Amino acid sequence: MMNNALKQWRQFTLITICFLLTSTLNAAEKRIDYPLSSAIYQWYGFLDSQNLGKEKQAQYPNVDFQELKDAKVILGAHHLLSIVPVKQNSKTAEVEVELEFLPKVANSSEVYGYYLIQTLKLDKESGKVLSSKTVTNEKDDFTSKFRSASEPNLIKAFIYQWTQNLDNLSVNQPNSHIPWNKHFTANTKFKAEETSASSLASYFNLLANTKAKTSRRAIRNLNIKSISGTNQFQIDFEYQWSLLNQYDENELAQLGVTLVVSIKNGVVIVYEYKAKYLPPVTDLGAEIRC
Amino acid sequence: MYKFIKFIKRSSLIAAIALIASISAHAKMPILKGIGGDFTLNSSKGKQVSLSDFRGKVVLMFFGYTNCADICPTTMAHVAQMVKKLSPEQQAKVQVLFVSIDSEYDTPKHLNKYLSYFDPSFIGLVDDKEKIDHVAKLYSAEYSKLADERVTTEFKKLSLEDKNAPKKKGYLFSHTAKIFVIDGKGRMRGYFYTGTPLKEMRDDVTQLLATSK
Repeated sequence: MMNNALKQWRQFTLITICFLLTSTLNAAEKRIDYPLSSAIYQWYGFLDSQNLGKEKQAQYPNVDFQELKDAKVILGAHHLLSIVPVKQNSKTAEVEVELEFLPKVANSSEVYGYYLIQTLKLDKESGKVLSSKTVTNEKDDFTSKFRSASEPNLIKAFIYQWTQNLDNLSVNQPNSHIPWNKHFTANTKFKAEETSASSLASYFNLLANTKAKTSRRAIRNLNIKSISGTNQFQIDFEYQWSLLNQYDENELAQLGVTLVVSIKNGVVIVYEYKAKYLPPVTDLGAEIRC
Repeated sequence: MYKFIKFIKRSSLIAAIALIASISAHAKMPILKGIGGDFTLNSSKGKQVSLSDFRGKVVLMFFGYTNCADICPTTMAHVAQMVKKLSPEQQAKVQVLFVSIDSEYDTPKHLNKYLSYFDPSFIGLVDDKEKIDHVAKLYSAEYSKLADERVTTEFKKLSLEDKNAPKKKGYLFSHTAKIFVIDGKGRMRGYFYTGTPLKEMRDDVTQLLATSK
């Protein structure tokens, strides 16, 4: 009888633990670490926008630059496939980055790419890469068309940093060290989802007054495309914004965001920022009736 | 020893249920930002009403029209059934609003008669098309009047077959079938549909009433 009770209790506890673990893991799988991802994209965006000759490489003694070991290659495109956090402490983070590297070869648009896995160690406070070690470096046995990656990498770095800033502001933890006026100039056309915010400063103030306990803007459907005939890019994405307000109530919003930007000296310059609330997504089959 | 195990078993069960219940309670009916807002329209009760008049009450709002042959009466009957399942105290804290999208045909008097078939406490709202459009835009409640050729009801088929039938009588509107759930502070909290089980609707309304105290 007692054995039976113990068995039942063990089974029940196991099921409960499994349920809780599964829900936690599912939630964790989808969450992007914005500051970390921003730092990584910024790093590869930096590599892709520089001529990294031997002299410059020497400035980074803890980076192996395996992808640039061919003396002819001093520039290329790092197309990131995945970022997997390996371990973290309060000061540093270690990640494994899987990527496709396309070397820039003079007078040729068809190149042999490389499949790379690199282990990066970053300073969490500054976002600086402390070391980079290539653990896998496989040359493709087929050619690919060269596609630049510096702009998309720098844009993604900016979007992740911007998003984290909005979330931090919503919980009243402003990032005062980020010089946003470097990205948003006096000529930027700025339109936030809240019509009462007509400028970047008033938008930041408005968000700071949200005083939420938690805030998370999940980025969905990020699309970066170059605007033909210009050096500008249009960025479209959606935010699924969930927050726990100061009264412990859950709030949800769906936002559509569009930006027009260009890159100058490795810095994203925003010409236009438009955000608007989108209607909640509901079952289409139940939407319209006659 | 057996009693101790039983105690632990029960405590674990209660803790797990409480945890799961708190997770689902938080996940249910969040405040939907960026949708909704206050408005004022003529009502079937003979005076203008604003959404803000119903602060402290849970409002269930539907966009429809009295000539609707299917979804509107079905939905109103469904909502009426749910309201009947609430206690009298809860009923007093729930207001059903029926916003007419047919400003040309529906009148406050006509709406009052129509809604009294379902529940005399239901309030109909009708006004100039511009005002209705404004409310529909606030709530992203799409609607459009259908052209004659898309009409599908038996009634319309008959009138199409009968060449002498007056042309305009069988018009239809395409409109959202959502029941907009608004809490006691005028905030959008989610949607019900005709297919939403009554128990689920009642539980959600009860929960909103409890948290808006």
